[in-house]
Amino acid sequence: MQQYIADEDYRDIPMLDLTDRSMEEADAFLQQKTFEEFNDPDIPMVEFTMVRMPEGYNGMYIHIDHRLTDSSGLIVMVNDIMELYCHYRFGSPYPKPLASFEEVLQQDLKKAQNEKRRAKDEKFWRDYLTENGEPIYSDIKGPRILQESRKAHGDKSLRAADVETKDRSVGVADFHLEPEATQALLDFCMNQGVSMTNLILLAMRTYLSKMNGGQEDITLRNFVSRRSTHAEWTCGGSRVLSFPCRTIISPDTEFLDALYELQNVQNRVYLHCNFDPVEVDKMLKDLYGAPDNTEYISMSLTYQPMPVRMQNEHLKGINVRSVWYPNGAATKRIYLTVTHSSNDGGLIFDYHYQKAVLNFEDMQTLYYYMMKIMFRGVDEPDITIGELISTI
Amino acid sequence: MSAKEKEFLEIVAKYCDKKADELSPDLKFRDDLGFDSLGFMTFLGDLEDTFDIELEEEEALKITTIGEALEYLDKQLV
Repeated sequence: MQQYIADEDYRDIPMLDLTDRSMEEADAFLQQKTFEEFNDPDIPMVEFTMVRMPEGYNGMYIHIDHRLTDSSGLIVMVNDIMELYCHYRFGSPYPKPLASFEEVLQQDLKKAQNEKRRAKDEKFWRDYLTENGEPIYSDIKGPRILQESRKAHGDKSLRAADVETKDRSVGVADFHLEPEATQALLDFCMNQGVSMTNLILLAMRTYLSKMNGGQEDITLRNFVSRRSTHAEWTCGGSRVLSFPCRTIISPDTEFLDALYELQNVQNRVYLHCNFDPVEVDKMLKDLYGAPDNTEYISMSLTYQPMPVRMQNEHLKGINVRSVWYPNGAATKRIYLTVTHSSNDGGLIFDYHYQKAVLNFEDMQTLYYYMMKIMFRGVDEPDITIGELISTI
Repeated sequence: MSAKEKEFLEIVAKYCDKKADELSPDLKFRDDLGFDSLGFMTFLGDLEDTFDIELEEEEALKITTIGEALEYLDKQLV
């Protein structure tokens, strides 16, 4: 464990001036820099750069390997850096110390050694993967994708589809949902006692169902932050793991009931989310023997509720711009990250997709229908999923 | 306060950045202490591991306050 944790980092932080470029050019430059990987042995897997951007934005560019931190860890760190800046620049109080990464890691390792817990988790996942038989693939391009895989493998009953492995170049499509509309969704979630994650998952699965002739059995992949205690929230590091979220929802189920069904599935998953997801995938493979390089899941979700936030009164009124640059490789067909805008609190839907098989227009259509599904469902919670699918 | 109750409140405190002695039975996990679904389910898992009990998920999910959780725990430990 120690080999990954440096006591100090004495490197200078360089300054990069991109003010002579347009914002688009500056972003393209930083995007290109983000494609560089930390592959050499025994090197730091993070680099900080002070950056002056066009349109008066001054700040920092952090290039970091995902194995070191996830988005929550990074946001906590950026917020802490800004609090430190305010302390040294304006004399505001020194920020509260964050939790020790190492101590939380030790607690995790202790938990992982609890054999009873491990046995419970293993039993849960085995039951979860067997109770409804083999999952079946669904795609925003419709059943054609699975049919093609069935042909390619000469197996008419194949339920998993081929994964694009040769060209994994990533496309990005960002959409911003206005603060008022976002608030309407948040209010609905609050009033109905459901989470935004589950509302978004329901929209994703309903669109897949629509595009696949009303298919009732849909599996998505949801990324779980595994940050619950105060220490876990503030310890940094990479804690996120992903698990399949499978729901079988009949068309006569009302929207709100479907949401509760999905929530029940997710709650059960949350209770067992310290289990190794690689073992879950292995169990699935052992149970059903799908061919190598095939998948049951076409869409994945991360919902990140914590914004980069300038809470300090010395920073009030300053526009904040935060951009996530992808590392260039899309291992998932569609990977949606939903965050809250630093400026207005509206939701940002950030779709990363495999350019070899999908394009920007596909993402536009997906976003359009996800919004239609969510807002129609919020307006008419008793509408059935079948009616929703046929009328949007 | 019994040792079990003290231990229970210390677990709750870990999840909401409050001190154990600031917690009262009427406080609601979601509305007052800011638990989300993931936090609440992880908390239930923590109770199982600490007190070596098996929770009935459906029953446990009906719990809304600290007092109800303590009552439920008492029943499980009988």
